[in-house]
Amino acid sequence: MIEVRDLVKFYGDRKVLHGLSFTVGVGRVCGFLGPNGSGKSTTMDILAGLLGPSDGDVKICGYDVVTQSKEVKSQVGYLPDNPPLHREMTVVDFVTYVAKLRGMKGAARKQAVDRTLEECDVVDVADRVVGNLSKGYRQRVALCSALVHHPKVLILDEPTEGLDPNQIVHIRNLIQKLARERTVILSSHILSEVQATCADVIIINNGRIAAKTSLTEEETRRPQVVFSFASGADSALAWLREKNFVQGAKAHEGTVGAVVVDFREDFWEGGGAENVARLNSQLVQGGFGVSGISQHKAGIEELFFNVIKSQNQIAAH
Amino acid sequence: MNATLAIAQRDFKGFFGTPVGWIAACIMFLVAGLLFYIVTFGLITRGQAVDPVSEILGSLTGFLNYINIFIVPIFTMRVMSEELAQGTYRLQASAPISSWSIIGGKFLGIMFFFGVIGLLMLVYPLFVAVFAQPDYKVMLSGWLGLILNIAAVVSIGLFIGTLTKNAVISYLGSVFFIILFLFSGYIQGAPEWYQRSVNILELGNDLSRGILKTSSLAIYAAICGLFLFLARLVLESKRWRV
Repeated sequence: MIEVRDLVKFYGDRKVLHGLSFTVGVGRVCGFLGPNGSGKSTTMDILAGLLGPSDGDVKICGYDVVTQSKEVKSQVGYLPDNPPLHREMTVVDFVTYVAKLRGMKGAARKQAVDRTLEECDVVDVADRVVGNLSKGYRQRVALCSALVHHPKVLILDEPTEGLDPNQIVHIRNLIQKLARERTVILSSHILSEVQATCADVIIINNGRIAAKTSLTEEETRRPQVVFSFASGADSALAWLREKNFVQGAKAHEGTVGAVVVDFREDFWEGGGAENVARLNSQLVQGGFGVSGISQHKAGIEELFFNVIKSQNQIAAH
Repeated sequence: MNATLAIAQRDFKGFFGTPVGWIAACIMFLVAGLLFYIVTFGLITRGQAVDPVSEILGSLTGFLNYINIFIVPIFTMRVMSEELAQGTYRLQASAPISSWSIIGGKFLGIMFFFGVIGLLMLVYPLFVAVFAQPDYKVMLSGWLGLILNIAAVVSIGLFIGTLTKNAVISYLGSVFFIILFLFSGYIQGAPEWYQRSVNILELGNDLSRGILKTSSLAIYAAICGLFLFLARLVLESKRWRV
């Protein structure tokens, strides 16, 4: 559905995208995660056909964004980070105007406008002036403008930016509802946002793809265990590393005297909890002062911070 | 065409939805009303023979052509620079329509607005017609001159508007460029055809005196075509900004 190969973009001499390559399949929700200024919005502008790439191939639904931009634009619904709204218009007039821009006519247009207003839950404010609505409603109206032509691909640039928690939940639910029959790509620098709505995640930093992962894979990944020690954490770490059922062990970042242990697959098979309890007894008997045990799941957050940190370190060198 | 008309209709309605349209209309009617009164009153009190068309309406449309240099850029600034700054231009840019449709829609939107103003201004010729026998052909040619002048200024203003997101620069730049364009006809050594072509105020005055030439219409068409084409080029280039 979305195929990006070696995408490069220059602004003057400044290279903002360094050969991005990724694909997003039909019916997937893909999160574009990255700090501000990482190139998310530029990539989205290119996907929506608003900006031309300096190099590389971008195809949406099989259409090339450069040579078949009209076809691409008719397949794509785009919500930029700064929602384009004519604030002096009423909601229904605004959505009708966008439908006219999209070449829709007569009864089909009216039907599409009504369907979109309902889909985005703005029927109750349809006759109100856009500028008088709350930010959450305005965002939903902007979403209407991206959806009115029933696009196959939906590109949302920071759709929950600046909304209050209630409005965020509302927009999130809406995106999940819309994703049932569309390919959605959304950008955010809020980790929880991506975690809550996306199946796949692409982490972008300094115009490069830093990591690609599937959140479903992350969810099914086996947990790690954190042992906290009152003293002697270093010797306990060495002791743990020698065990054949331990795949890896490292000091826990940010917590003094704690060790993160990653066990082999077979450790968890047939009573992982009992095995942890047994290991705890062995540690106590070995004279290590265990003060606590907890489960640790490496989430998207850790992945994000690790890749951004390592990339920035490489850039600094 | 559907999209072009949609943009024109939205912009047209938008002018009446904000104070800009009403203020501009008020200024134009205030100036036209005052001028109509002064010219008519002056001619009558001096006891001169009043040629209702060439004297009264000629002065009226001729003066409005000057005024429009300062009024029309307010509209081009709104529909181009402000839309670029507020991001609403992205709505049009992300739709499957050509840059011609966008620029054409904006041009038509402003022309519809001034078309309505122009129609309402027919009250002056009608008023004259009650008391005298004006030459309707000359009246019509003067009205056409006013509209063509506005069209030329709108085209130039739209072109300048595409170059900047800053509304103030867009307005002042348009006024400055239009004046420069007019004065470029006085440059020593400029070809005669050029001197004749760029002075749209003089062309407008000819029309208000009833001198309707094909060459004048062609010059207006060329000016509108050239600047709308340039505006379209700038919009296209935004996609490829490097």
